[in-house]
Amino acid sequence: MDIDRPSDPQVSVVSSDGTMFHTTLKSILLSGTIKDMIEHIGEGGVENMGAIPLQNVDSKTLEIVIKWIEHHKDNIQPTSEEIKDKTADFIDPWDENFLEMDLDKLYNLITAANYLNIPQLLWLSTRKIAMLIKNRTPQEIRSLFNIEDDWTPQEIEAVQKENQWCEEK
Amino acid sequence: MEELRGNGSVKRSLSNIEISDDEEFLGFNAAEQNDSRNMIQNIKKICTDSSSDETTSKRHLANRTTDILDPVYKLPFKYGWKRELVLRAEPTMSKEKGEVYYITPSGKKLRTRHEIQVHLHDDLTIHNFTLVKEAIGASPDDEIIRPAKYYNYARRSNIDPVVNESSIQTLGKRVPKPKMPKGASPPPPMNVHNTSLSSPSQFSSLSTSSNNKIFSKDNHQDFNKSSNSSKKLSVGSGKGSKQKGDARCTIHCLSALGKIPQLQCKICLCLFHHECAKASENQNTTFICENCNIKFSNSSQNALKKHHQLQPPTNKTHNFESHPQTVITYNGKKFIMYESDESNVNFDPKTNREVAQKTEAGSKTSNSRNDTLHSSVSPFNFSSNFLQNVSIGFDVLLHTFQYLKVQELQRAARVCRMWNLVANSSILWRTVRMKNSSIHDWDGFVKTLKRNGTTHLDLRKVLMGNQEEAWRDFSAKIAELDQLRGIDLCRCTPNIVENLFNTNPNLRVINAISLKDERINLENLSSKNSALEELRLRSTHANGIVLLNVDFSPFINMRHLSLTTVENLASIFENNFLAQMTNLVSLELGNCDQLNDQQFSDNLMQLNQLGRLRIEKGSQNFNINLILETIAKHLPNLHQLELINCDVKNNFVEAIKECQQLQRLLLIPTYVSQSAATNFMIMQGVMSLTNLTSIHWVVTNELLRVTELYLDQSDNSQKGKKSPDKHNAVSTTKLKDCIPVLKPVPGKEDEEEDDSNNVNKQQQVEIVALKIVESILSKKLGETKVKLLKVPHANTWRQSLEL
Repeated sequence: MDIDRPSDPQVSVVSSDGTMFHTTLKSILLSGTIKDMIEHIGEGGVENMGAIPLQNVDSKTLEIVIKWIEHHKDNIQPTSEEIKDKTADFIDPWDENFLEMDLDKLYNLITAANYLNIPQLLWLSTRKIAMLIKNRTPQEIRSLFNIEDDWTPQEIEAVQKENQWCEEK
Repeated sequence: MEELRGNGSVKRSLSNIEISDDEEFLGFNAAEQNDSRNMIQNIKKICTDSSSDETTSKRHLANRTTDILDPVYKLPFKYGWKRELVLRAEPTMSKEKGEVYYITPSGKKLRTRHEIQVHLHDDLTIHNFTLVKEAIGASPDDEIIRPAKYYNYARRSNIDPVVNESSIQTLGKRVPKPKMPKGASPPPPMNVHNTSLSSPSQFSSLSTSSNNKIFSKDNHQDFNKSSNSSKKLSVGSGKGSKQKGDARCTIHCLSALGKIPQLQCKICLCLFHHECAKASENQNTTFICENCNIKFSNSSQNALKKHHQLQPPTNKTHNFESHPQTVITYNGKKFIMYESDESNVNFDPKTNREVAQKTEAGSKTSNSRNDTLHSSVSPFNFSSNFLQNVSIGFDVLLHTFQYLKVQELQRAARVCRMWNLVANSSILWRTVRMKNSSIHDWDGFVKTLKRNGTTHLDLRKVLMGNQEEAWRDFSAKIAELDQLRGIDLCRCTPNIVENLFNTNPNLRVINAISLKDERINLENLSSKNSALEELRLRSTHANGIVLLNVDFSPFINMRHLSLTTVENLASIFENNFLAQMTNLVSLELGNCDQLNDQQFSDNLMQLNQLGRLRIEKGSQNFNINLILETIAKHLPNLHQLELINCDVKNNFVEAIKECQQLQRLLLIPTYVSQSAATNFMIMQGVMSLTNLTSIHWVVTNELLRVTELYLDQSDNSQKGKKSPDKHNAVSTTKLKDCIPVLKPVPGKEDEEEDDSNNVNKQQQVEIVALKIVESILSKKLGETKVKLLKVPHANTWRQSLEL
């Protein structure tokens, strides 16, 4: 396989709604899904493989993903262990800025990161959601994510009693 | 809820008559609708009372039937305004027919005359607007008429995105963020359909609530969920009930009790039993249920009956892509999931909704997206890939929760049943870290951990108000956590650890750092502690910690032992305690200057499993070379060696040369005297190790400072003599971060050496920049990773190689 060759050939990907994007091999290999795909492509060569169809990612989201992978193509991707370890105090300001998007886009990004298997991006985006959950009361969380309160009064009382200990006194 | 709603009204009244944009989307219940309507009326009243202008508007309201079609009301449309008439879903509930909104050319939605007044421009006056709840007969582009709400979200995505896009353009309405005001009640999962998009017959079928009800079924029979492919349509002879709630089959159907329905209607995709629908097996691909059959033939008539005058011509029809029932597998059980009218559900509807939010495009995020707001309709349909999407949603939630602290997790668990389920996943609770969190109620805390099966508790950097009291509570409660396998303690008194030996004999790992006292009594240790595999004790006390009543004989399974600040370290050699821990893989010892190096090496040679050894403070009389010899002879598995603040003595090169099993090396030599010789030996010694994969060599900032001073001095002293060469040399060596190395510098190329010979002819020491040392070592060691670090002496003990 010629994945590691120094030159960085162009690769095309096609979103679910048919928009084609061009990026480089090095960037696109951050996606575990596509890496697997390319590794199994055999001797045809990366240059001749044509555009990669991505059925589960629409063009808007794919554009965001490609922006991210192109920025991070030269960074060493941390292993999943490392990701888990740093329950995240430090975060690259570029990433912080990058993730300033509305929730809809963020949801799509998460789905895409999950589908494309880009652990670092999945980590960043779910972390962003976690930050939204932090320091909010259950009611605020319900409002934020538009979740219906489906507890019966008895149930919520029981649950509240159970985790009363964690609230400030 | 009540309280929050109260907040909401407070907010409303505070903000005077400005009503949040989002309010329209909140989906009030009937009471709230009245509230808000009353409020609007009150506002109107205020307006009319306060402003003489408004009296005319009052008149307009009174004469509503006469001049509603007056062309004066059409003027705003010329400036790009829109008018929106929202009809109540159930007109019987109040006298009012609905609500009227004006939408400014910039897309802001206005509800009151007051608001409108603020936005007036050009020759528009308030008299060009009417809030009479009737159509004023403008073109459909300018005047939007729609019913208020529909309890349906599963089919939102089916609304033709093209049409919606156009409606967005004509409306120019801003897309609200899914965030809702604080006081809002959680909205029901509804969606508002534009009348122009759906025919009345569909209304009736769509207005069912979207609560998904799931029936459990311990049935693992194969379920064929592949969609039917045939395009042929034929009429089934089914005799389904005509009530829509009963139309679909469940596992409770009498004629096929307990079976998952497998016959799918071509049109509505509902699932039926063959028995109930009286269909034969071979109708699988062509079946149409009775409901659809009836609808099909009647749809043209129905279309004319309801909301007739409001129907703009339409040729759009729904395509029924979504599956009204779906089979999902959860916890190894199969569930059939369908929409139900019942609000009291067995299973959390959030499974669906939450996932929908996470995985689908914007329109699904909240019901604040009504028919006019499908700007971000996702091309990929949630329900078309239901199972996959459900699992992604679950996964994402789980991922997200990993970043929450325990308290936040507990709060998230109260949000709804689905979140509760995810938040209580054992994977999130296996390790509980309390960094920067406080624990007010140890009893509740311990009970929660016990319930969730926590096996590792990390109390480092936990916040404690009253330390003494908190630790006492901890000691009293921790015994309940008998499933606990590992614990990290910090800044506690040694008696907490002593207690742990007694109360939690199942513990395999005890890490206690920054112990606060100078002695620890180990008399509680007994044979029941034999499970212990890892023990780290470290004290902040200046003199280190004294071990009392040392008896390490129970530690036969010990794999990792770290005693770096123990004052009476020699006691671990009594009765051959150390030598008996033959399973030891990793050993860290500090204060080694107090050890008898011969005794140490005798014990060490028994530990032939040892893979990692760290020796701190091996200075003065402690002979590191003896240890190195022992390593070379007896410890073939020792791959990682850390020598922290150890004296590098003569013959170091010869000793370390024999330790060819070493792969990772961390060296922090003491630089008391002879630093040039020390560096020389290290360079030479390291170069002889052929199997190294990484070498970390830590140079103290103090040494760098001394070297700098030395350079300055020699610079000054040599200033008198002038030599053109020297200026060059000085400018190169004047670089910061240099260390002295005895000449000849090992591994340095000849030509470079010539160069420097000119400079310091009389001196035996060469000043070499760290970078150059690094490059020399890198060159000589080939594949090995070479890293030179600068660290203040006080922090040397913090350096370590990761396992």
